[in-house]
Amino acid sequence: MGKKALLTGVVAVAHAVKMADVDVIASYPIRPYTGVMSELARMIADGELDAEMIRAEGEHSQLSIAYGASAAGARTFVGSSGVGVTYAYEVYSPISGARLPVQMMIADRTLDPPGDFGSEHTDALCCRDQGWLMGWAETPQEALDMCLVYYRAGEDPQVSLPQYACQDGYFVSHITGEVAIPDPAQVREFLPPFRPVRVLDPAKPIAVGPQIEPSMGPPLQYQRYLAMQESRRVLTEAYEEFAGIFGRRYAPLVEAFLADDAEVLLVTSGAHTATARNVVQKLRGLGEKIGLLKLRSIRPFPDRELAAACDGAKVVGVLDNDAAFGISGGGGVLYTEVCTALQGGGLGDRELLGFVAGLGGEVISREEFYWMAQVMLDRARRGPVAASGKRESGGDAGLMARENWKKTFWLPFDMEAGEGAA
Amino acid sequence: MSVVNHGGGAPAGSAGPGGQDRWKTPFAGDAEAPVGENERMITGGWRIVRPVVDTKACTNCLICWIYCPDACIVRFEEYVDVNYKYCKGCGICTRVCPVLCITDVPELDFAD
Amino acid sequence: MTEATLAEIRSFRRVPLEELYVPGHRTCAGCGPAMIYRLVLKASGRNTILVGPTGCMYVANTSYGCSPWEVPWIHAQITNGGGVGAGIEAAYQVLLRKKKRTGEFPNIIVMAGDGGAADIGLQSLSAAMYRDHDFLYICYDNEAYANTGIQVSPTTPWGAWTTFTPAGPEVPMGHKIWPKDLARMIAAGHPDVKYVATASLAFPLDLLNKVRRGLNTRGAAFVHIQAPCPKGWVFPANMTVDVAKAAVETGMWLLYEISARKHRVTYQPKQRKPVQEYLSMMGRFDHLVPEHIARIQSWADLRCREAGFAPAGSLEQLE
Repeated sequence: MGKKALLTGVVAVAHAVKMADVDVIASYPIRPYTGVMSELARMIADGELDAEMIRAEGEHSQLSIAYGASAAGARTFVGSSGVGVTYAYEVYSPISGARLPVQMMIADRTLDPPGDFGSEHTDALCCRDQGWLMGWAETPQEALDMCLVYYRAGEDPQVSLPQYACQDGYFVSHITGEVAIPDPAQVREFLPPFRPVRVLDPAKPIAVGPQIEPSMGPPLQYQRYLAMQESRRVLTEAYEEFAGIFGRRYAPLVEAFLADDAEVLLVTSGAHTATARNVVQKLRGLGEKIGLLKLRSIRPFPDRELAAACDGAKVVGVLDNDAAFGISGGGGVLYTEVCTALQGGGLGDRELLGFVAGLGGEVISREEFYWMAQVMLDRARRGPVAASGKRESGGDAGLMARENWKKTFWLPFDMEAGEGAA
Repeated sequence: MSVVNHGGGAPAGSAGPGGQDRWKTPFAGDAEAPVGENERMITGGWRIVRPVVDTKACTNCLICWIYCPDACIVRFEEYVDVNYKYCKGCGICTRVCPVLCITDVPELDFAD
Repeated sequence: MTEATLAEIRSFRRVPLEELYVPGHRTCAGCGPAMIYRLVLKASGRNTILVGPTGCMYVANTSYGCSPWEVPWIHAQITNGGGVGAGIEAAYQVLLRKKKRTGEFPNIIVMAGDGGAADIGLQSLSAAMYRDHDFLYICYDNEAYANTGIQVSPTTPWGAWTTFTPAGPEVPMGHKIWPKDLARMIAAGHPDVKYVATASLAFPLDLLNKVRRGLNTRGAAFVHIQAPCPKGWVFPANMTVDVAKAAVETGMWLLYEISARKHRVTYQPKQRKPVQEYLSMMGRFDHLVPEHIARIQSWADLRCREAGFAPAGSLEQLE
């Protein structure tokens, strides 16, 4: 039943790609994702994997090759980082629009400037609305498992959508973790061969991607919308079956940690969650009612699951490892998403805070997480805004003051400036 | 090609605005391959002039047939004729005919 | 490409009767690229997969969600015909090898315009040629971005009017850059490409056979076909064949093929005519004055010399 090994995130994914018996791989070098392709090239050279590996001349062509190959019935794999991810941008919508379940591994890297190898989720989040599934793995094990789950869910005929399987550059891609490499028979049981909804075949001719008239626009976009909605169910079922076969159980969309009775919740995604979890545990030990919610899936965004998990919390803070200049709220992408997800839950009773941190690949330190926690706990102690819109104590003046409270913070600047105290 | 409500949830067969059955839009907008002709783009109405073949004079040399951009020259045993359902009236056949057996006649000269 | 070799076609009567590019498409009356599309499919037959990068032959053929092709076709972006063709090729190679599918390897043909081949899609084309994928890339060259309303492309001739290069008192010649020579660029810079040819719709048997030779090649092949455009070049719709023929007879379009790195002129006019005869057939050159025409004549003479043609008007003297 499989074996254990110390693997980096990129090598772990290469093992998953091999076991998924991927047919066409298109590569182009950019750090930090490159290692997955080096490992796959080695596997092919050593006869461990039979796949066509095309050394493309850029990320745009990687995705173009995958588009053609997937349409011809191949299981495909590509990947990139940073500006490589954005260079291929044109091809993302045609791939999801043609409903081709291409998988792209992203090991995050900052966009330029700054010229920087560091991890930052901005690259992948730029592509969040292109009709692809998207989620982050926190460890090499999760990266391996996510690759398999995403092929399974993306290729489900009710979904038939491509997938961005993301991992933080360096923190996951280059740091080894213990990984249980599944047995090939388990993978075969979990992941059936790719059965495309339709395929380019002279025996069954069709035209893929014709021009349309405007009246066909709404239903075509609606198809993608419905497929993305449907992916919630398919992902959930896939993770359930995954647990049965592999013995590793994941919360499919949102993973809760000490969240049940928490008054204060921090929402995270990706590798920094490990540090956050550690800090939350410490604070719990000190008697603070704090918990953590990790978003495993960003697309589809788990609105309902998140809202349910936040029920009862007084303050929800959102960690954003992305730069979104000029965005509503002044935080990051996830902050605005969480605000939208929770708006039905009674914003008047709950404070939503955004923390932008770790940009450029800087480690988000425990000290920073402690500071975020203190800001959230402080707000919780000051009490909720009543449903009437007025604070329970302090009257109009208090409300005015409360409305002026800062909602979003850029670290480390606001921390060093002592902005946390309202 | 499947005509389906991929993604589920859509009420099958319910017509959308404008009477069009939007729910039944093909998967990803794929188009069926035609058989013999594409009736969703009938172009005969574009014609201003109609190429008329003097079938008795036609030598069946096939020069007009090879050059027609619209595959509208119809071949018979001893002569060719024109598929007016799609012929756009470009006049290339008339122009390349070596025995001048095709004539461009203004469409307004015809009753139909 | 296919297992079976496609035979040479020696007469119009031997040209396949089967129409795989059927009547019913929104291309303009007298469209050169449409004529080429039909001939290409007659050459390739039913065991074909088409890739259509954005351009006239995408927009005008698939309008309103329909298809005029009896073979499978997939849209590519204007940028990535080479990559998409490469992906289909790779998929068929590996799926047949791994026995995940059965049947014959298909003819994979990318039908790109000059914008998709020589301009924004050049990188994708070059890389696919360099990697020697087993497919045929055809550029139907109407010497402008015609679908968007006749804008200059890298193959637009010097002196041509387009909506981006209008002639006026300050710019009397209109377009003032000499065109890229795409076929020679592919042949010179891609050592693994086995077959490169140019073709003209005025020479249909030559065109059909060059397409077949390209398809018979194991590996990447490229055929560059001049495609007169009545709307973009401003000539009457019934003159498409005449204009294409005049381009060849004046040396403005050269017919050759490069097979196994051997260059062969496939047709040269017995007595090359002055370029004036070609230029005067089209409105896009209306504004040119004699000195402009003399420059174009020199350019044509130079290219003919480089291609190994006899000097203008001298072939009979040589014989």
